[in-house]
Amino acid sequence: MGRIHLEDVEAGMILAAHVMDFNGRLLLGVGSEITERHIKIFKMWGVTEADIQGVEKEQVAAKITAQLDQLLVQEAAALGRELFRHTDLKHPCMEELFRLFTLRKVRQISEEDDHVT
Amino acid sequence: MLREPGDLLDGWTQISSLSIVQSRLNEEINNPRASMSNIGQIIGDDPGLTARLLRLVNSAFFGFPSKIETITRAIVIVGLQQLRDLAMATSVVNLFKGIPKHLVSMESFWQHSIACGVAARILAAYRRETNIERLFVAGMLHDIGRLIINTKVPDQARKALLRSKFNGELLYIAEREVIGFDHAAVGHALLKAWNLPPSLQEVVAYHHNPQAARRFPTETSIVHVADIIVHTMQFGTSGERFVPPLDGSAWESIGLSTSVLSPILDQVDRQANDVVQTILPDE
Repeated sequence: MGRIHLEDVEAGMILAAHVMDFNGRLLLGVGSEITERHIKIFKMWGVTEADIQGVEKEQVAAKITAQLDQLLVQEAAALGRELFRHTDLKHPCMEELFRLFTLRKVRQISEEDDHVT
Repeated sequence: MLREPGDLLDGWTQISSLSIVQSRLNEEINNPRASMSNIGQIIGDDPGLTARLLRLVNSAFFGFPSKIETITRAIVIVGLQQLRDLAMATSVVNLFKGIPKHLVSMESFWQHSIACGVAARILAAYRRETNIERLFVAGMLHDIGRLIINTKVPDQARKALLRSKFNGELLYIAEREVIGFDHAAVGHALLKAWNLPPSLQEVVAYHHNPQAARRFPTETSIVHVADIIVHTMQFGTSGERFVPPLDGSAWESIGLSTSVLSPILDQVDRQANDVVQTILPDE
């Protein structure tokens, strides 16, 4: 089981823990199978993550990066290392921001490339 | 030779329209017999401010389903103190209209500042803080000292920028080396001279050093983190080239999971441009 981002949660996944809103109100119980409608409701109530059976956070993150053009990923990560040079990338908050920077940069570079060609 | 941040404030302390509208608003809000129509009138006396506020409350920032047509209506929906805070934020931008922009473009500066305010407001909303507009204002003003530095000591400002570029230093470190103090200290002195609320003064003073904030550590930590978030988005710049270092205990004190970062970046994407267009003075 692993806590993953709501954006990576798909219909059919099984909850490994209750999902609550930030008031602590139960939205969906452990063991439930998630549907598209649930995901919509989670979003409405400000839920940002869910504990899912049989997945690991790192796995999901790696799968997303693996789908991208690896040359672009390297280019974006190099830019990121310069931009983040004064930060501690071992800190979970900075690690996540670095990951998000890389994903966004890859998207931006490939959009610019599309524009040129 | 400059000795302290206050030395840069010549000509910036006796500020005109900001303090007049602001002090009339404060007076009226603290008056037990205050009426909404009086307050609406004070804002209405400044047509530019009225237009900016109405554009703001009708932007994606608030995302209200129906159009808000009058200031009185805006007060009912947004709240009196909140509207006063927003009035101040939009007025400050106008004060700096027309200052030389050869060091950092004003548009870029306000993009970064406004995005930081938007991010701080969203972080506060995730924490379920009350009156989240004050965090917007604090985030928006966090780098205001840079505008004073660029205007008052442009040569030293340029020297600091070049140092940062060629040595790969953080700009606020370079400022301390070249000028003797950084933009946070100048911003603090300015807000103090303007008599703005102590919470704003403290956030601006310690946004790079949140542990030093004694009275408003939460607000300061929120803006500290918002600044870092916005730096990773590279949406405008106040001159800093690098993501500033995170204070781990500030992040912990906010008490949010790292999974909020991705939706926050998306929300800033959606809102910041709209707010920038609303607040930036028409050229």
